Amino acid sequence: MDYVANMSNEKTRTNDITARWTAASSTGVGAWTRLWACTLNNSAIRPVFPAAAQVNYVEWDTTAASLAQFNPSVAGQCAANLATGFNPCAVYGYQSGGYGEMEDINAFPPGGTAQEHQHFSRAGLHELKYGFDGELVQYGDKIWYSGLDGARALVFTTGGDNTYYSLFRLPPGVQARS
Amino acid sequence: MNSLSDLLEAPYYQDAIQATTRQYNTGLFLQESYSPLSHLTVNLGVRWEMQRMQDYLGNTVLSINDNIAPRVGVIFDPSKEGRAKIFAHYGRYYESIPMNLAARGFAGVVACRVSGPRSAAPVRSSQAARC
Repeated sequence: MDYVANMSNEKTRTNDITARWTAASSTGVGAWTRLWACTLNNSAIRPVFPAAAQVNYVEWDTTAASLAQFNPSVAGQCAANLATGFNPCAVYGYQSGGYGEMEDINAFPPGGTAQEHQHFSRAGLHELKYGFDGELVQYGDKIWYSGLDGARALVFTTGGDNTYYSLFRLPPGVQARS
Repeated sequence: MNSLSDLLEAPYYQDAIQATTRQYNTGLFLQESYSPLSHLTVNLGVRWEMQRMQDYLGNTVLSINDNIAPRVGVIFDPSKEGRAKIFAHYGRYYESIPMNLAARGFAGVVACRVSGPRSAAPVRSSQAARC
């Protein structure tokens, strides 16, 4: 079964849970105020049709061709208008197959602020505020291409060749080269 | 420095790439709000922001320690009754590096390209050496 890529439309689920807590050590001048906040975020990008995750995404990279080349069933509707030269089925790119890239994201960024206020009068009114804030962002990311295990890839086809893009992991310490 | 064995080892195919990267964002700030007159306030402030990013192995791959962000603002109330204000503000702001960029750039991920006749099957783990 062949899924036309644009019909297996993108579906993104995003969830956020936020918690905040504010506390003052005391009230009045010189009070330290602390604020802690955390937001759990996760999102997922999936095809609407789960089966589209099992088929390689294919992009036909071509200059002007006829849609009939990819869908022979429409060949009868693709005759060019002889009077105007208009070709109703000219296409410059065509996508077929499965969904392509899918992704799971889980972000967990707990953070906090601690600050102190000081008020005083000296040639006018002064409000001095100082403190620090910090945040630890933990970001989990999982990406994969549609297709079968062991052969997940994006496929680009030009002329008579296929080019496959697959995910590889470099050994620790090895830098990617262009 | 990479070991010789690392340099000789080929990237290996993955059905999916999973990586968790971390970023530590810290800042110190100081702000003075000064009102020499009841209808004039001058705000002066500065933030010192630092970012440290770790790759999926926990190694520090990026460390920024010199983001100084000054802030200056002036608020003037021409009515002197709290019914109007004219204000101006200048500030320099730094945006932290997007974590999606870190996950892609520091997760050891490469998208390998293998070309062949249209009849060929997608790349498999056994073909990793061609990557």
